[in-house]
Amino acid sequence: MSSKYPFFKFISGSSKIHIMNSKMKIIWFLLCILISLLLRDFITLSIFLLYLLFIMKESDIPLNAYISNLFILWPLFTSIFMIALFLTFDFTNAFYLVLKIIFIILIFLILTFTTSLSEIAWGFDCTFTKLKKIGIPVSKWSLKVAMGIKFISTLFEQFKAVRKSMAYRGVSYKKNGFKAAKNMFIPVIKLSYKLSTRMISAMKMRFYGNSRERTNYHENKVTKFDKYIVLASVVIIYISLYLGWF
Amino acid sequence: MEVIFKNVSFLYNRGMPNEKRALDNINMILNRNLIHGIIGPIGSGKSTMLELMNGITKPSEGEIIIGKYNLTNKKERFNFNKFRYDVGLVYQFPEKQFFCSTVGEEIAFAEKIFEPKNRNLKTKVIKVLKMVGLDESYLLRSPFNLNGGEKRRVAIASVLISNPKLLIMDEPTIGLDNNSKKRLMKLLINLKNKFGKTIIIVTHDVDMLYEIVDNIIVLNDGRIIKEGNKIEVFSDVELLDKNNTPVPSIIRFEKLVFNKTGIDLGYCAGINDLVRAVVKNVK
Amino acid sequence: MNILEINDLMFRYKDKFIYDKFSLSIEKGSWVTIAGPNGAGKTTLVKILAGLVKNYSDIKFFGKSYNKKSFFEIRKEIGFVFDNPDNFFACETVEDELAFSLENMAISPNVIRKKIKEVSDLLKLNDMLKLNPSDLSGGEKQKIALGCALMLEPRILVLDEALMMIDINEREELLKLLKVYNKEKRVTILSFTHNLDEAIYSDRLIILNEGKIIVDGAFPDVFSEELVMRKIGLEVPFSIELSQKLKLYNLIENIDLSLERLVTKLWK
Repeated sequence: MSSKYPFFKFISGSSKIHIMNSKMKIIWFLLCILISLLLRDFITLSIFLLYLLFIMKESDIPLNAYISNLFILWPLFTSIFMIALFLTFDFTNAFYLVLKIIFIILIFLILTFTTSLSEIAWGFDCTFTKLKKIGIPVSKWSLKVAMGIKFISTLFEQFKAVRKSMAYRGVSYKKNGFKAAKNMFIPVIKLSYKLSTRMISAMKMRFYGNSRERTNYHENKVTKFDKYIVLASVVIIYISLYLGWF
Repeated sequence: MEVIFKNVSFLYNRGMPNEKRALDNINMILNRNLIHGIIGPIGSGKSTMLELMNGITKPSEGEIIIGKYNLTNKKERFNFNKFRYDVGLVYQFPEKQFFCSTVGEEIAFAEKIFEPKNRNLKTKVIKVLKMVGLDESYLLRSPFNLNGGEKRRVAIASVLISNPKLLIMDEPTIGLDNNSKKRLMKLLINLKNKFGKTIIIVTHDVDMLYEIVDNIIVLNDGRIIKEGNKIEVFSDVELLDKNNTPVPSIIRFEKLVFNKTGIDLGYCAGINDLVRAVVKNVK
Repeated sequence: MNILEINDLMFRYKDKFIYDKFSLSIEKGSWVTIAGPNGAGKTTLVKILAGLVKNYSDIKFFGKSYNKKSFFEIRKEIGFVFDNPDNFFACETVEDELAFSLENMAISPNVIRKKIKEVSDLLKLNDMLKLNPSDLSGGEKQKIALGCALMLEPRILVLDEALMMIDINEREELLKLLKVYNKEKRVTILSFTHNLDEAIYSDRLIILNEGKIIVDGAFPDVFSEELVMRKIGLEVPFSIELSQKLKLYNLIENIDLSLERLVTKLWK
């Protein structure tokens, strides 16, 4: 129940996706989430899938990283499908629902594999910076997004670590099943929460958010590639609306 | 309980661009009822070696046999439940793995899962607390509010409760002040002499090892550089220096004396012995 | 000039006073080691200086009052290295970790690049730059944390058990490096530890126990208080313990930190 590529954890690299400008990347991310939510027809689905496969290839991260992590969540996908089917008796709808969730998770994987957490926080901050004028705590929320992502990735890591440490004391969920799982549940949640809040304190301690401006050591300037893939996602939105909704 | 490694190798991130060979063709036999020390510079493979003894992590190549358990036999899986009773592992900063609200619960944790109906559990916990030099008053205290040395001993107690024949420890004295360190060293000697346990310690605290260890393995770059009893190994100062491995202060001093004057101060178990030897040999 | 002044610090945890009217002054350019056993209050004091715990005491850095308003201005001149580097890392590669604080201060990337090269050459971090700090060993993490502090080119370095996981040989090298920072670059060093071996280049040694200063004097003269140190659980460096025992036999006159010099003195 684990992948060689930890769930939602940054994988260092210098691909075109890695060096994307933070703001453009977050815009790209949000547009893709929107496409996933709007998905309704088969043609858009295929176009979007090809588009994402292209992005995954450009990320220089083995396809296996994405697939193995999606595979970990198969119980989630199956249960959602069953529940949707049970509630609506509509196979197509249930199918599209699960597909949307799969795509959303895939997009999150692409984002988290190729972007460090401080870049994600900063990207959100830059994207919504105009909202600060009407009093919305954009910086705070951006940090919370980063914290949420860290929390989820830590959850998976901590599960592995707690399982290991329990194994050294002789408890294995394979052998002791439910009892062991029950005893692991709370420590894992507690530890993950502690670690993600710790990361936020660490960021603040290192002066994150103290200046209005922030430089980027990697100097990720907006490139033509960034603009093209964002444009492409906008085009896919239009296609989706045209084919699926009108 | 002895530990045997036959042609053991271990690669991290196998198949990926950042693949690293942490252990390279290790062959060793660690005999029972002794205290073994594994030393070497950072990144030498010491911690990997320990991990391979946990019964969960498998080597990339080779065979590992601990006591009657063959950890790498592909045809017959060894009995992990029995194994974990016989082998106790104490990690670096074991207090980081605490999750119960009282010391008593923390120590009894594994036992509770395996023998939930054991009415003698409390007695067992108190016995093991006494073994590590803590008294009954610690039972209801929170493990997070103890000082470093006490936390360390509680973590060790939680492993000792299953009465392992083999104890494996990663940097057991790190972060402890002097008094706690001395207490811990006494405990380890006791566990060997009084309770017949085998102890394997990975550490860079060679001064501590010098006082308690029987057998030393020097690792560097994933390979065994030297192996033998503590005098044999620690006296080879050139080799240790070449491999960026610390040398016990007593030996360092004796070597300086020998290099300058040709006088061999002989084996000195501790600083008082050393002072006596110096007094004898100074004109 | 005093680079740090603490006046009548009061700090309570639950129903116990950890610090009760505690005062301390640190002179600019000095290397002060504050030693004490586990539970002496060292880490608490570091947290107070780092602004991690609320307290309303009178603390002055560089003559300025340390409060919410002056916090950022003062903090960027102080390099903190905490005992647990995991609490401090915010990034996913060592390189990013080194750059992080300066990025947040909007320093130009060229300057950051140059400093990263300097610091990683100094601390031999070059092979680790693309690795994830959480995958590294304790000693490597502590080196990176020290690197992050040096990136700020601080006026004061506050080290809390910062060399604990680093092995003896490397520790000696790092202490020598810190000596250069202290003597040549005039960086004040405030080092908290229970390992007196690390005090070897200090000017001043303070022994803390239960929130109180029990010994405060020039190093190494202060080792005459050996009994006190041993009683509270501090390990006296080997060369000093040996010197003291040899002194009892009248074989040498003074305590010596260097084993080589001791041998020379004994066998002229």
